[in-house]
Amino acid sequence: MLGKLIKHEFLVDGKFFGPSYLVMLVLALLGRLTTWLSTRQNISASASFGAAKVLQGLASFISLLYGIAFVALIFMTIIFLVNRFYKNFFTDEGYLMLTLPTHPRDLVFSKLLNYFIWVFFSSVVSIGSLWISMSSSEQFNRSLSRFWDTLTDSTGFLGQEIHAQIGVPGWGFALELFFAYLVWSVQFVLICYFSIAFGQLRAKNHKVLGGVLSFLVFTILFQVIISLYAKLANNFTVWFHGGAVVQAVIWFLVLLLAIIAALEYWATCRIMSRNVNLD
Amino acid sequence: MAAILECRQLKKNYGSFTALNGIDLALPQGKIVGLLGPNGSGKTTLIKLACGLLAPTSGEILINGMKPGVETKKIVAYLPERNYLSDSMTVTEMVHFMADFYSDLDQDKAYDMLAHLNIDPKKKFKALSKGNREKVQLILVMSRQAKLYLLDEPIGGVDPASRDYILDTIIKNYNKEATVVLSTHLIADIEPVLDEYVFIRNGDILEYNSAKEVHDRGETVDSLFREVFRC
Repeated sequence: MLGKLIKHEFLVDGKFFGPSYLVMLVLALLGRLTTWLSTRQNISASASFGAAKVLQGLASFISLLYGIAFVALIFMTIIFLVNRFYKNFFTDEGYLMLTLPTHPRDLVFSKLLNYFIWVFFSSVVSIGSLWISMSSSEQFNRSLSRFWDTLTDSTGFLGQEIHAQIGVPGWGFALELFFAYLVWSVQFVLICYFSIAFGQLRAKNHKVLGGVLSFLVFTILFQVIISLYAKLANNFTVWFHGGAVVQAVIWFLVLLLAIIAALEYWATCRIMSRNVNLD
Repeated sequence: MAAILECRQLKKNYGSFTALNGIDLALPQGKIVGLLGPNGSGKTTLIKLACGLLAPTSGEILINGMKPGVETKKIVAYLPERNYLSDSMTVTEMVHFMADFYSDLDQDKAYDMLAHLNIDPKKKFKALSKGNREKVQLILVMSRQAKLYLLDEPIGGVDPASRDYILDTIIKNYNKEATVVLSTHLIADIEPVLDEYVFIRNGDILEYNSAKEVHDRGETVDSLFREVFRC
């Protein structure tokens, strides 16, 4: 059943993301084309002043549209996917989804997995479209090359420093941080889901407001927990020195995030099993 | 024969409000049962408990001897009062979706019923009229060979001709070994098809009897309802 849930969710989400990605890519291509046309010497030289201005104006307008679409895609990806969770389980569609012969933990997991799949695709499309749009620009390519050189130099230096300080290769430390970021991301999505589930418990007629308020409260609570941990970790590293201590602090943070995420997952599934306020 | 739906001291509270007050009920297999009561009597709460949408405050509800869960959802076909299908999906996509999750759904039967109603399966759900949406939902439920059909107000809010069609569809297409529970307050319309009835008010079961016994007395379930629930 989990496979079927993931499949159907993917197909439904694809109806939103497919056209969105197409728009991004088309705008990126148009931007590249109009920029290229407006900067070509022989065109700008032979074309009338008005035509050149029109081309430049068009290039700027399309760049603006692309910029808006780029930012919108990032925000809309998160908003759309979190809203899918709410709509599927806590509005009338809940009568269908929550009576399917599948456990709520599979329903939640399928949403969580699809969230990360589409966030990944959106990231790839965003970066890919940016490259399509900008890579014809010499200035962009020079900037990118400079950025890459600076990045490789500084990461090389950082890697050496990290190895000297905590005894772990720079790439190993980067992997640890990336893993911690992944766990934090999962926790972030689950806090959204839990807030939605909890919010509808107390505010049947104002589920969205209930969800938003719950999200604010739980996020503040989460920040308090992390701040307390950070303070404790800081004291720990002051009292005890060494690379192993830093490693322990990072891994205990990952464990703390994983425990919080697991609790949010469990609580969300429990609410969905017992107390969904459908009209 | 074991009861398909059994309630043992089943209680459900919403905060301080008691929706079901420790009811006992056992519905046999192969019957059409009217769950009859005024608004707010506990009909929908009972149905939601049977579907696994809610958990009891105390007591027990069993479907085919099992607590509501994944296994009972496989054998229960539920038609809620609301439009619950996704607006963005086409009718065909919805049929495939349901068939994917419910192995007892007969797709050929579903398409036959859609064709009989001249409903284009390629249309998106949001493009259908309100009446057709309700009919599509009913078709998806009645295309299943479930053991228990829970139909919550299937004929409320529709015109008399549609009511006849809905009842006709239910009678012609349900699994004859199954039990159909029809929740409604339009008793006169469903009386001809009822085998048994349950009167419920304020979370209590007032009466559970066979419709034949009422008819043998020269009464109707509708007139009995009006007498029992007189304001």
